[in-house]
Amino acid sequence: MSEFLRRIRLPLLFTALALGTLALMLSDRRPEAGERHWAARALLEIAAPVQKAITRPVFFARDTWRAYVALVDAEAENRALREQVARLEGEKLQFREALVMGGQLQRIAQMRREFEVPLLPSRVVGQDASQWSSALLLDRGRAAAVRSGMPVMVEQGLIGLVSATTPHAARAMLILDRRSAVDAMVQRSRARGLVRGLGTDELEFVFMVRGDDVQVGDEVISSGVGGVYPKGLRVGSVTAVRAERAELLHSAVLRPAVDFGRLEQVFVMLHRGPTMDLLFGGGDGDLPEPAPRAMADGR
Amino acid sequence: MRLALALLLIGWLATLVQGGLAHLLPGWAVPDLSLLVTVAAASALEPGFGLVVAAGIGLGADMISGAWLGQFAFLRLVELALARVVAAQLDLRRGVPLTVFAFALVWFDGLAQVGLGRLLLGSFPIQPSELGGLAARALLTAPLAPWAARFSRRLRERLDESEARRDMRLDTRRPVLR
Repeated sequence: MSEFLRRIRLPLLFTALALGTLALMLSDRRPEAGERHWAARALLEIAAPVQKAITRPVFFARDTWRAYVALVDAEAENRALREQVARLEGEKLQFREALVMGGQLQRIAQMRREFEVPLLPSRVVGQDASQWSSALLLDRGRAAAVRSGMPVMVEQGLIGLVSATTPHAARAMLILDRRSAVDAMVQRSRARGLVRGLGTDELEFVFMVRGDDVQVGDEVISSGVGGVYPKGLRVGSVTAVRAERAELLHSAVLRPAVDFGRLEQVFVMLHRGPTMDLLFGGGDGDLPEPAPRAMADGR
Repeated sequence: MRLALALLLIGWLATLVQGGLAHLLPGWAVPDLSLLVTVAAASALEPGFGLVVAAGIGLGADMISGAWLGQFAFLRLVELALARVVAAQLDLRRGVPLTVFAFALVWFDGLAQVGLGRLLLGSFPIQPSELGGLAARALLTAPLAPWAARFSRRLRERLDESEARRDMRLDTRRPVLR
C-alpha cells in the first residue's frame, strides 16, 4: 500500500495542484468574485516599490538626457512656443467673445462644476508582464482614496480603470485589454458604439450601420452612457472603417489617443461611476477580473 | 527545501523585474524570466518540490499581472511537468536542446494563454503581429535558458546541504592512489 502511495504521490500532487489552480481561475472569473485574496494584495503592495526601484534609475538617466537635449534646443523651441502662445491667445479671445455673445459661457461654467472631479496624479511603476493582458501598476492606492472602478486618464485621453487596489498601490486595466469595453461616440456625428480592446496597440469601434456616419480621422470620445467613464474623454481617432455589407454591425479601427508605451504619470479620477458603485455596493472591493467587457459599460 | 524556497523567491523577483522591464521596453522585447526560473526549477529540484515551486511562481505572476488568479499557476505547473517529461527524452543539461525546448515552451505558454482566454471569455482574437511578438519573445527568452539552468545548478551546489554531503560521501569512495 505504501509502495502504491509512493508511486502515485507525484501524479496525485500534480492533479491536486492543477485542479486547485483551475478552481481559482474559475472562481476569479465569476462577477461576484469580489475582493482578491489577502496574499494577492500583499504581493501587489510589495510589487509597486520593487518595480519603482527597477524603473527609477532608467527614468532618471532618460530624464537627464532629455533635459540636456531640451537645453540644446531650448532657444529655438522658446521662440516657436512664444509665437504659438501669441496665436492661441488671439484665438482664445475670439472664442471667448463668441461664447459670451451666445450666452453659453455661463452654461459651460455650470457644466464644469457638475462634472469636475478631483484628479489624483499617480506614477506608473510597472506594466503587466504577461503576453495577452494589458495593465499598469500605479504607486497610489487606497491610502490616497483610490478605489477599484475609478477611471484613469491622462491629458491626451482615457487610459482605463482601476481594477485592484492595496493601501499603497493599484492596478489599472487598460482600454487596450481584450476584456475592456467603453461606450463611446464619434465627436463629429455623435454616432454611438462600443470601443473594445484588441490586446494590441489598436482599438476596435463597433457601431450600428443604419444612419451612422463614421469617417477616417473622426475623433471618438467616451459617451458617458453605462456609468463607468465620464462623458467627453478622448478615446482615439478612426484610422480605418471596415464596412462589411452583410453585417448589421460595422466596425472601425481606432488609434488610441494615448501613447500607452510612454506613460509615466497618469491621473486617477477620484469618483466612481454609478455602475461601479452598484457593482461594489459602495465598498472598496477589487474589480472582478473576469468579465469587465460585459460590465465595463454596464452592458 | 532551502533551494526550493530560494527558487520561489527568485521566481517572484523575476516576475517583478519582468514587470519593470515591460514598462521600459515593448512587450515582445521582455524575456519571460519567470518561465526560465520554472525550467531551471524542473532540473534543479525534486519533482514534488518542483511542482509546488512552479505553482508558487505562477501564483506570484497572477497576483501582479492582470491575468486571472490561477492562470499562470496552472501554466507554470504544466510547463514544469512538460520539462520533466522532455528531460527524460532529451538531455536538457546541454545548451542547445535546452534552448530549443525553452523556445518551444514560450510558444506553448503564449498559445495556452490564448486557449485559456478563449475558454473563459468565449472569444480571444489575436492579431498576426502578436504572433510575431510572441516569436520575438521566444527568440529573446530561449538563449537565456542555459544561463538560468547554470545559475540554478550553482545555487543548488551552494544551498543544498544534503547534496553537498552526498558529494563528500562519493569522494571518500574514490580509489586511493598508490
